[in-house]
Amino acid sequence: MGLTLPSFPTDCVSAAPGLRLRPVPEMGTCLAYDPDRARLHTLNPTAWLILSLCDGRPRAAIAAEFATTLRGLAGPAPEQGAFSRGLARLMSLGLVITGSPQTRSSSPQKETAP
Amino acid sequence: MQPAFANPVLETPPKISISITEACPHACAHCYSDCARAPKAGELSIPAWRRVIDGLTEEGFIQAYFEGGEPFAKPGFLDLIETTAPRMMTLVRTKGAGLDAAVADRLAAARVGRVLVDLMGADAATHDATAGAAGAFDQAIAAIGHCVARAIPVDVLVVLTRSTAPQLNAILALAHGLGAERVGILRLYPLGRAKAIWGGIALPLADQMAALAALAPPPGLKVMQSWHPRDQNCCWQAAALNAFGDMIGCQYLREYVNYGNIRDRPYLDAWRNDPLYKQIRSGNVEASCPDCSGSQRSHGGCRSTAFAFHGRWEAPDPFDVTLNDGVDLAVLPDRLR
Repeated sequence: MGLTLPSFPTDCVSAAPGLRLRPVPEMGTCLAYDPDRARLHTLNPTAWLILSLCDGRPRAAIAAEFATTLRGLAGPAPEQGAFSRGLARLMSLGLVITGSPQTRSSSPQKETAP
Repeated sequence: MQPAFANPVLETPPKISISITEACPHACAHCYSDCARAPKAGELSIPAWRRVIDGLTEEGFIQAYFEGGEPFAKPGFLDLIETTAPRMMTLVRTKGAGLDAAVADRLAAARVGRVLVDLMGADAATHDATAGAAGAFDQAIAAIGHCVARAIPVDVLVVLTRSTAPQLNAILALAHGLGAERVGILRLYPLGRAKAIWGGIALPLADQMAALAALAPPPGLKVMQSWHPRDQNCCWQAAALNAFGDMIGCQYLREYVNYGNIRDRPYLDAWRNDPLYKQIRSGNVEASCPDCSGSQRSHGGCRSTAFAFHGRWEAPDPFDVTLNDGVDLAVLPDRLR
């Protein structure tokens, strides 16, 4: 089964409601707990960045910030299409949904390591 | 001087295992906690555990693995699960006692992430003899069925002993047939009542390796085991609490360490400041198996069995064929008898 993206760049995307993010910067990963599906995912840096940007804005705006953020970072540039593939994968896992967050409480709980 | 070997370093641990009680309706011959039917004096209450979970959540823990004793023997355990699962990936290890259809309904509703069920044999006679309880096998089988029927992922766990070794493939087939996703084959640890009967249940390492080499899992069933070349020193990421709230790093270190009580000290305080905890996590060991360190990114293998057999935290793990160095795993050191 192929991964699919929102139909239009103007479609808004958000992190799934109730998601809890737990960065593990020492390992270069972020754990994402989805309590609705009872799943704990380990995100690579690309997925971690995409998910952290999915705050209800249109897909095109998030893609632009993704590219801007990467340009400001050291290290190798991600492959062409990394954003689209990453977003599609996050959507297939249910970690990102189409639409704006309805309430503040539905935004992901972002944590920094204590 | 830089140590020869070093494990990965976590500033804070994301996952924790919690032994919620040392009460259990079974009387397993090798019980690591010397459990009894009644809870022991000093076990934390459910309200106390709620406060602990609140604190652990604030400290950044995102996964809780509950075990016992028998967790379902703890009154109020399901209430605790229901307040934990919305915040942490929640796993429960059980022998199946008390996990009936109604309990499985609550586990499913609470969105428990995985249930791990111990099997001590592929048939009732073998399992019940080790469990010390007639009907224990049927309870375990029923518990697996209740969870699978509700789409709760299930793992089967089996400790490799003289009685389970000849039945491993039958256990794999049974687990697969029941709908378990994975089977974890665990080493036998010299803890609790296992020490008293060690000579009768422990296998020499060569026999353990032969039993593992003979595994023929059904297609689709994942088998997990931690012998060579996957012998991990997982202490670098390990956090654990016993039933009394003592911080012990790993359940298999329960008889060797105590970093203080969670009611007196935040977990991260022990993690960051206890010298022994830091030492055990470091991976500063005398020898490291290249194959295992290559696959597991850690060094020296399990610290519990290394310490048990050698009495030194830096010692090599004798359960690894490349680090065994002539240790007979079927015979306990005198100080453990």
